[in-house]
Order: sequence, then structure tokens, then C-alpha cells
Amino acid sequence: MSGVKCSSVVAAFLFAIPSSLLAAEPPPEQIEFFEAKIRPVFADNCYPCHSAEKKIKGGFRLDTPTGLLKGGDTGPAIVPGKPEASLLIKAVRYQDPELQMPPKDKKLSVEHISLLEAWVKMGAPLPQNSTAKPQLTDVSEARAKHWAFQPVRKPTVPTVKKSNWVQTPVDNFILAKLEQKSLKPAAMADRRTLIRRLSYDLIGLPPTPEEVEQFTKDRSPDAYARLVDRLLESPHYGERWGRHWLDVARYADTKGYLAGGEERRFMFSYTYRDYVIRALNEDKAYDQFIIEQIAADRTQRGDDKSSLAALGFLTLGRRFLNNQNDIIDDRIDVITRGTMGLTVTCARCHDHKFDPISTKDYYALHGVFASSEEPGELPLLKPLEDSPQYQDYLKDKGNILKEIVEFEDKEIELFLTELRKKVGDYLLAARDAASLTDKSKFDEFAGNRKVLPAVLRRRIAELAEREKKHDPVFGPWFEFSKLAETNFPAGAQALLSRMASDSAGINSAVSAALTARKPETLNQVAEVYTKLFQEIDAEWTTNQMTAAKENKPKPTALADSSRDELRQLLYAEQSPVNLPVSEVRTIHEKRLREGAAPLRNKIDALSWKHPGVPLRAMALADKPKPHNSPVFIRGNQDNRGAEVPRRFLEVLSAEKSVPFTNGSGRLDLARAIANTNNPLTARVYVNRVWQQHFGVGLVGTAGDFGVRTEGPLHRELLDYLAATFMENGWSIKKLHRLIVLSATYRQTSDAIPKNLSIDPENHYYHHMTKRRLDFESLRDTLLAVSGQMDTKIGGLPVDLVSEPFPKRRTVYGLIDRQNLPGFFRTFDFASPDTSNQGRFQTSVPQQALFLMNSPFVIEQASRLVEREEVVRAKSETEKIQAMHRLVWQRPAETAELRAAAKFISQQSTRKTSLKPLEKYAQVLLLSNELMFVD
Amino acid sequence: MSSPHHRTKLEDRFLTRRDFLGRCGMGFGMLGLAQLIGPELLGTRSLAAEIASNNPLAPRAPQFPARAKRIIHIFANGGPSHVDTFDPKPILAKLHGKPLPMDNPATERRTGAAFQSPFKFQKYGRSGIEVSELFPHVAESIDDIAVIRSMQADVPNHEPSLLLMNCGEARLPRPSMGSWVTYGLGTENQNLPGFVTLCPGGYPIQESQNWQSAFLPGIFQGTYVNTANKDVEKLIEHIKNKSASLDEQRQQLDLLRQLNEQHAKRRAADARFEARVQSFELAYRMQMDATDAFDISREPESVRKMYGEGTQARQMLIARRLVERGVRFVQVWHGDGQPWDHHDDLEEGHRKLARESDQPIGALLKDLKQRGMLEDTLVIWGGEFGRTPTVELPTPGANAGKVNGRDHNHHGFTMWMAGGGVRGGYVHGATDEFGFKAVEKPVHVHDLHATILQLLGFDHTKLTFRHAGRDFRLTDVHGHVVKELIA
Repeated sequence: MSGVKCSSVVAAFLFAIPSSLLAAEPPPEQIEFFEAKIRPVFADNCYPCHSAEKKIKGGFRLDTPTGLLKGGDTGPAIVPGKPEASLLIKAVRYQDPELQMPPKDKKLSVEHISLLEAWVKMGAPLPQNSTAKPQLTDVSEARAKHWAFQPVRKPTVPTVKKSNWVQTPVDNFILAKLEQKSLKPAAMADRRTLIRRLSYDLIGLPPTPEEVEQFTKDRSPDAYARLVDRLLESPHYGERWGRHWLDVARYADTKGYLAGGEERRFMFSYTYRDYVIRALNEDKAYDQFIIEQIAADRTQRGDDKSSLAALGFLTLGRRFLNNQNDIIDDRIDVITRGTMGLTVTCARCHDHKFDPISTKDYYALHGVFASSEEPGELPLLKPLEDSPQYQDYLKDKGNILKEIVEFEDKEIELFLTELRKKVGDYLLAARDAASLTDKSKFDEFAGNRKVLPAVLRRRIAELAEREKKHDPVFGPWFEFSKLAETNFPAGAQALLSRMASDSAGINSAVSAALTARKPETLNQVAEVYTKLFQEIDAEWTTNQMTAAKENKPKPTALADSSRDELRQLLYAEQSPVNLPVSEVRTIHEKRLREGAAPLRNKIDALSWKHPGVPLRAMALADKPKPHNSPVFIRGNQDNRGAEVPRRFLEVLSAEKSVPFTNGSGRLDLARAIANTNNPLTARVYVNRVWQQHFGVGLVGTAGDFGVRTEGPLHRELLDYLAATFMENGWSIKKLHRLIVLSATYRQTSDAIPKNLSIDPENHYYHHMTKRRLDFESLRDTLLAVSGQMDTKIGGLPVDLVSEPFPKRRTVYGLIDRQNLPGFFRTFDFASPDTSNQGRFQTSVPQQALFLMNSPFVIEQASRLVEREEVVRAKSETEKIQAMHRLVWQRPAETAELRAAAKFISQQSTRKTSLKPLEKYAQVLLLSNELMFVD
Repeated sequence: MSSPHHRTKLEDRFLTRRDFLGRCGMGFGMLGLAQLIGPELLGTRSLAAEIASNNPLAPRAPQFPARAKRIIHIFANGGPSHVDTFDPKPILAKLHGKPLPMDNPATERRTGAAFQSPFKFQKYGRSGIEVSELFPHVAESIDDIAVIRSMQADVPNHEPSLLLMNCGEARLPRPSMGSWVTYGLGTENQNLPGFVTLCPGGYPIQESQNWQSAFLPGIFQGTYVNTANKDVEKLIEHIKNKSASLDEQRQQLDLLRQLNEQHAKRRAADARFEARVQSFELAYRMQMDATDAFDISREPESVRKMYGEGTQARQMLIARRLVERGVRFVQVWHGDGQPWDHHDDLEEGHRKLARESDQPIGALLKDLKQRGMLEDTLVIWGGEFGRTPTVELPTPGANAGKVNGRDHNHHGFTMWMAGGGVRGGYVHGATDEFGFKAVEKPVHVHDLHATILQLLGFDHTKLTFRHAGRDFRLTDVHGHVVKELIA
């Protein structure tokens, strides 16, 4: 509607909605009616002229409830309850020729008009901005009002009564609120609980019996702090916390569904996974971590290119059948939701419904990624070093390349052979095509004739050339094809006699073949040509082969010169019976490409198989000529609106957002995110860390800090953590210490009953939350307690479901996002398709089935019994104790030992494939005591 | 978090208790969604217990009384030709070999002249609806069937169209219909998965994305079963322990229960402990029930005979046994890849596939009816699109160039539904006189989804899940319920 001009009369249609509508919150179903039925009508028909992002004709805005409420100034547009008296209704009905909206030919449908009438009749219920549907789409208003858009300021640490409880400033914030509520913190957890909790939390593995014993006996005041340090320094820390980040990064090793033979595995996905693990282990500053993941290619210095691997953050998303706009959308989403808790991709098709994010914001970022591309050759992570392994890799690769060339040569020959069999078909089709009146039907015509249009076009041109001069081979064909169909046999007879009497200038092989056939139709003439060329082809091939067999020099021509003339034609690049190889490559491109795909895949496959493959980054680079993107109206790439300069989100920009100038703008974007002035980045990350430590974030929606997310109960604590995090140079390990050294974290997970009656849901942290092992921790625990775990860090992904079962930590399991093995999903693994804000936690029988029946679990039970600690134990009771210490990190108690003895005795008479102790071991692996962390 | 209130959303029931309360306190328990949790559930159990028990598959009442309680979706993947099955176009015989008097709408490849159906049509039932000789058994139930002749999809390619038909979105990862339905309704039999996908021989095109749960909890993903496998115990992962008998397992579980009880006794109560104990008991029973459900040898001879021989017969019978046992959503694919995709040799190909599936599908409809189950079991048949009424022209590298097949056609195609509150003996909409485009009462895939959810007792605009800042639904921002299809 942007092209429609409103007349001056209509422009005077500035109405206001009476303030009486503001009075009370309408019932929810009425609000819902407005949101579901009325707002879409406004959005589709009115916003183009009456909304902030487009224009505000007549000063009237319908794009926000506020706008609707403010209205214009020529009196009320709506008389609540009275459609007949409402200007809005009159306008949409076109009752008054001078008051018609939407203007011209855009009149609303009858259905829409009656919806509007019903709404006005209802009293024109609108959501009240403040309560029903938080919505701050106005940038400056949102900046001023929404808590998460306020700058991070370090709050004063509150004073508390029970100050001797305090271990870190976290406790001041928690205790101050507890005291306000007359809640008492729970007791401190015992040593065994603490070491188990900390080990799972920081490295995702249970402590060994020795570690437990050492810690429980260590009476020095800094024993706990030293334990924290030891775990943070463990290389397994990066595996645990790297995996948390990989959830945010929707990491997978495959591209998702792709058609044909296209390879689905990313060649070097694992270099990103290992980068993340390393970054966490090295305590890389979080701001640097973000910058590298968005724009490492723009910050490279020197020979060490290892940080380029960080770009996998952007490139390892699903490939959506290579749809570029979807790939860009995925990248915008992982960045904005992952680092800033903003749902920017909501603005792909329309301005964000709740947050101050416009389609312009979205397409400003779209331009950044449309100006970036994956380099054709992935960059090496470090300079090539020659080694026997590398040479071996080159050899393997060379062999495959040779196979590709051989395949293509064979395919091309096959294609040409087929073509040579159809000489006559093309002659006929070329002749008949001339009478085709509608040239647009050419391809269809060719199809009906079962010939290839591209080849036919060439043939027509070639033959036309030859027809202009005297042609010894095709001359007769031209003559025959001019004969009238009705009297063909007679005409043909005459032609043949003429050719017999005057054979000069006619290829004698051709005339002989025609004379022998005595054709009665033109089809028969065509057949003669087909047959003749096939004979020549066969003859020539035989000659070549015979010569080769008899070790004679290859013949260079056929003995009969007229037959040799045909042979030359048959293999000439420019001829009506052959095709240049270059042309075959074009016409036959699809088959050549698809047929060679499995071979090319073999080259790619070397990157996850061959130890000599030089490691590369799944990088992104700026295009040589960065460009802006236009807004795609309603997300439709064919419906282009105004171009938007590449720039940062308006709401997070100081005043007017400045266009990015540095290449694609990715580095500018990265710096705008990893910035102490960005109010979201630090808050979002410290919240994620808190969520991992306590099971629930201070803000419940880790990936959405938009205006629908109210300021959290512990907002000062969140800000304190965020501010301190940045002060400490964005050190994640320092952040962990601040949290896990706190008394809050060290509480028992059993609540004081009185506290539960005041705050049953533990909003105030008066006890620790019990945690359940997630997918990785569970599988890793099974391997750890069975003594089977391979503790190598990093490297190629392994298939977790195929036997023999790999013994590597779960974080190294191959993640095939297209067909993720069932047990990943059963155990609530993160979605590999979209940035995760947490994991679901379900308890379903499929989990139990896996633990009861999978050969993997049974194998671990058997290995547990075979562990040295168990084998070495003398009595059955001691064996059981050894297993308990390994699995539960504590010895069994009397009642448990009794139960064990009874179970073993039941088994002893039976003869089965599992030994009684193995069955007992499996039960321990299934136990709640293993699964839950106090 | 500072203003806890009591409105809640279905999706919150799959978060941990704390997550749930954290979310719930955000102050935007969306309006109208409270209905999703049926009054029965709210009335009889405390919501917190329901959430803490974390059983996302517990049966739930829909928003309003349902016509259909369960679904069997027979997916004729590859794109069966409507003008050869349920949408007769006699004019094609007259025009055979001649161009249509219009430009052929763009499809995946080039098509040429009109191509008559090699199959004869005849009228069936009281309704007299015409069905081709390919589906005589199905046609016997025509008076229970609503034939939708005006289906429309968006593009003529398998991948996006499969995703559209299954997930309501052609490209981006979105939950499948089966996932939405089990999310909305849970399932009636806790000893079986709630959403089962049967496909013999491997995966269809687009693979397990066709039954993905996407951002819904993983448990709502379809459980894939390769029905080419005749060994019942190989059909479901981890359904049998190869090293221990059921008796031995019982002893293990009894011991487990004792240990878990002592574990719980030493700690403050946590509903998750007992939920996990229960999950082992369920799993134990599942080992028997699941095996039983897939074992068609337990069917009487007469029933097996009715379904006939072969893989299709076996999987239709399995489908019936599953829904009979309370599985909410069963999807039955014809086979791996795209079997109905006859760009060449259409006559031979369609004849073969119809011969394989007609009798089993016909038997399924009759069997369900005899058991009184058709009333509330919705059976859906169709592909991801139909085929052109014109002949496909040769494309190098793409078809065999035999010029005796049809190209994909998303402009207009046929699907049918039976049972579950569907209006039987009814033809809805029509394609143009040649069968190319839906022209009368077009039914887009989104409309079909809206109608299916309606039959299940859901307003399709209200079965939602908050993800990435948005309330997602199967029909996205589209979909109109086709009321005429509902009896």
C-alpha cells in the first residue's frame, strides 16, 4: 500500500480511542480475541501507513496498543460497544465515499469487517501495556524501561546479620533476602556430598574413592578451595563446560538433510569442538571467546591460526538444503539468542511483536552474513608440516582424484556412444523442428522425440551449415527429406537412380547403404544413417582392439576412404553426429557431478579418518565486496524493500547506530556484543553459568532477556555477578569460584521443613537443588566406574552406538543432527538444530530400557566386577564394598549389605550368562544414588 | 519470579519443577492456554505432582471433546498420481498425446502432452464416488471416506513437501504432527511409545526429520520401526536383554527398588526419585507388551487373511494392533526412499504399489470398523503431493526418458481421510478439468493440519509451545479448519 496516496479528505481521518478504554484490564478471552483476530487485520492492512517502522499517516498508529490508545485528534475513532457510531467501522465499510480505509482497492473482506465490528461491539478490548502483554517495541522507551537494557552497574553488597555465614559476596545477596523473609539457610553439606557435587558440576565425572577419602580427611581450612582449584585446572573441566557452550552453539558434526550424494559430515567440525574445550580450559576471556567465534578471521596475527577454528560457531549449523537465507537466519539466531538472549530472528518477517527489534535490525545483520562466505579451501590451523603421515594422506587423496578422472572419462564415452546410436533420430527431429511454429515448445518437442534439446539445437545448426554447400555424406539426406510424404517411394526410387548414374560428390558408403535399403519412408532413410554410423563405430573399435591385441601400431584410418570419411565425422568435434567433450561436460553435468560425488566424498572422508590430514578451520571469511541487504518484506526474498546499512541492533546502540565499515561488519558486530557497554552479554552468560551450577537460572529463560522477561528476584545478584565478571577480565573460572566457593552453593540439598512452608519452590536458595545426571554425565559415569574410560582430550568424533562401543567421553560422540541416535533423545540431549537455553528433564521407560538391556550398560557392569579393586577384594562382602565405593563414593551400609547378600544367594543356583556379581553391579549402575547428586 | 501465579502451560510440564516455576513466574502464562490442561487432570492431581513426576506421556484431555482419539497416517511417499487413483479425468483420454489447451503449470521438470490414465474408474458405494481399479479394496469402504480432491502444497519437490506435510514447515526444523499430537494428548498406553513410525527397509527421503520433535522434548519424537524386520524383538531398541531372563530382571528390579527406597529414606522427599523407580517398572512391562503389540502371529488366521500377504499387510496389521493398545499416532510409510515417485513406467509402478497396499489398507478400514474403532480412529492416506496429468519429458540424468510417467504436482492432488469424525462418502473440492490445479475449495496442507487437530479436540491456534521467544504451532500462522470434512 506504500504507493497509494491518501486524499486530503481521508488524511483528515485522525481518530482517537477514548481514554475510557484504558480503565480496566479486559477479560483474557477478549484480549485473546484481539490478538488472534484483530491485530492481524491491523498488521496486514493498516501498518503500512500507520506504524512506526513504516510511516505514521495522520499521526495515527495501530502497531502498538499504546499507539492505538494515543490515536489522532479528530475525535474518537471507536465508540466502545457501538460499531455504528465508530469512525473506524464506517471507514472500513466504505460507507462514506470520503472516508474509506484502507484506501482505494484495498477494501477489507466482509469477514474482516465483521470481526472489527464484533470487536468494537465487545467494547474494543485492548491489552493494557503494563500487565497483559508486555510490549516495548519503541526503541527509546524500551531502553528506558526494560531492566535488561539498562547498563550493568555493580550494586553495593548488602550487609547481613549472620555475617559469619558469608563466604563470597554471592552470600550477602542471598542471605540478605533470606533474612528479609525470615528464612534460614540449610546446613553445610558433608564432605562426600561436596566433592561429589563439585566433581559432577565442574568436570562431569564422579570423584574416585581415593579422591573422596583424601578430601574427607583433609582438615585444613582451604581444603575446599583447593579442591575447587584442582577441578578447575583439570582438562576434564573444558569437556564439561565446553559441552554446555556447545548446547548454546547447537553443535553437530553433520549438515542435516542434503539431497543426492552430497556429503553430510562437516569435514572439520571437531576442530571447533576442540577449540571450545581448549578455550574453557585456558580460561580464555569470554569477550575474546565471543569475538573469535564471530570474527576470528579478522583478528588473525602471525602463524598460529588456531583461533580460526572458533568460526565453527557460525558455520556448523544445519544447511537447509543450502538455502542461503535460512543459513543466515540460523547464524543470526545462534549469535543473538546465544550471546545476548535476544530473539532477533522473530523479526525476519515482521517487526518483533514484543521487543524493540525491527525487520531493519534483522536485515542489517542479514547483510553482515550475506557479505560473508565460507572459503572454498578451508584455512589450515597451522602451517603445513611435512611428515610421513602427511605424505601418506597426499597419496590417498591423489589416488581418489585419479579415480574421479577415470570415472568422468568413462561416463563421457558412454554418453557419446549412446548419442552415436541416435544419428537418425536427430536427423529426423532436426528436419521436423523447422516446422515448429511456437519456439517456446522446442524443449517439449525434443522431449516427445526422445532427444536432448541442447544436442538437437547444435545438430540443427550443424546441418544447416552443411546444407548450404554440397555435402557428400548428408547431401542425400537433404534430398530425401525434401521429398513429399505422399509419393515417397517413387520419389526415393528416382533419387536412388539419379545417385546411381551420377555418384560424383556422394560418399559411396552412404549411397551403397541407401541403394541396398531401398527406403520407402524417410524414417527408413534415417535408419540407414544410424545403422551405417554404428557399423563404422564398431568397425573402428574392432580395428583398434585387434591392433592392440596383436601388438601392432594403432591404425590411423579405415582402409576404405569413404568409410573413413564417415569415421572422421563420427569422432570429429564439429560434426552432426558427434559432440565436443566440453559440450558433453555441460549437458551431462548433473550425472558427472552426482556420479563423482561418492568419490569426492571419499576425499572429504579422509578429513575424519586419516591421521595425516592437516587440520583446518570451519571458517568464514568476508566477501571481497561486502553489500547491504534489503528488507525482505514478510520474509519473502522476492519482495524487496529498502536496503538497510549493515549495523548493530538499534536498541543496543548508543544513539543512532553507526553503519559497520570493517569488511562484512562481523568484527564490528563481535565487538559490539563482547563489550562492557552491552547490557546483555555479561548478564546472559553469568545467568547461564548460574543455571548450570544451580539447575535453574536467576533468569528462567536463558535465551530470552526480551521485554516479556521480568526483572528477576535476584536482579542485584545478577548484576553483581555480571559487573564482577567484566571487572575480572571476563574470566569464567573466576566467576565459577565466586559461585562455588559461596556458602549458598555449599548448603545441603535437604531443606529445613519450616523454610519449605514459606518458600516451597526455593526461590530464595535456602537449600541446594538436587541434580540429576544428564546424558553425558550418565554415560561418562558408567565408563568411569567400570574403569574403561579413555581420557584422551579432543580429536575425531566417535560413533557412540556401534559396537565395539567407544570408551571416549560422551562429548566426543558423533552428533548426526539428521538422524540422531535414539538414546541421545531418550536422555534429553540438547537439540542440535537450535541454540538451547537448557535441557528438558524427563523420566521415561525408554531410559530404563536402555539401562536394563543395552549391551553397553551390561558391558560396563561386567567390567566393574573385573576392576582390580574388586578382583583383589577377598570376600564377597569386600567385593561389594569396593563396588559401592566406586559407584556411590561411599561404602555400603548394613541394610544394603544384607540386601546384597540376599540377592547374591538367590542367584547362586542359577546358570546364566551373567554372573551374580555382574547382575548386582548392573543394579548399582541403575540406582538413584548414582543418578542423583545431592 | 517475583510474582508467581497459577496460570500454566502444557509445555511447562516437561521442565523440571524449578524450571517450570521459574518460567511460570515470568508473568506471561499465555492466555487461553490453561485449557490445555484438562479439568480432569487439574482436578484429580496436584499440578506440581504431575510436573514433578515428569511423565510427559501421561494421557491428557484435549481442549474440547474429540472426534478422533488416535491417528493412523498412511504415507504413500513419493507422490501417488491422483488422476490415476481418486480423481478421474476422462478428458485426458480424448486429449491423450495432445497438448493441454493451456500452459502446463510449472512443476519440478518439464511435462508435455496430456497423458491418459491407464486405469479404469468405477463408482463405488452408496455415494457412487469413483475410484480407479488400483484401489478396489479401499473403494469398498468409500462411504466411510472423505476424498479431498483439492489438496495443495507449496512446491513440487519431495524434501520440502514431505516436511510441509509432516511438520507444517518446508525447511526449518519444526515438530512433526505426531509430535504435536502426543505433546497435546500424551498417550493411552504407557508400555508403548506414543508415536510410532513404521517404514519397511529404511528411511524415506528427509529421513527421521519427518517425525522429528524439533524443539519439543525428545520423547515426542516418533519411534522408528523397520517393518521389513520380521523378528519382533529387533523392532524396538533395547526391548530385550540378551544376557538375563525376565525372572532374573525381576530380581534385579526388586533389589533396585530396595536400594532406592533406602536412598529416598535418607533424604528429603523428591518426587523425581519415585518417578524414576516407576520408569523401571514401566520398562519391565514394556518388554512384554511391546513385543506382543508387534507380533502379528497372534492374530487369528481369518484376520491375517483379510490383510493379505507381504510387508504392507504386516505393517497395516501392526498399525491396528498399536492403536488398539492405545498408541496415539502411528505413521505407516510405504517404503524407504520415494516408492510412489513414478517419473517413468507409471502404469507398471503404480500397479505394483497399489497391489501391495490396496488390500491391506482396505482390510485395515474394515477391521477397524468391525471393532467399532473406526469411529474414533482417524485414518489418513496420501503422499506429499500428486502427479501431473501430463507426461514427463526426458531430462538427462533425471529420468529414464521413457516418456511414460508423470512429474510431481503440488498445484492439486488428492488425499483421503476416514473415520475419526470424518464425513464419509464425501468428495471435497475439485481440480480443474484436467486434474492439474485445485480450483474448487482448495485445501492447503495447513488447512488439513488444522482440520486434523480440530478432530482431535484442539483449536490449532492454541496448541502451542514457547520456543525462542515465540509461541510455535503446527500451522504456524496459517490454517483454516475445513468444516465440511467433519461429519
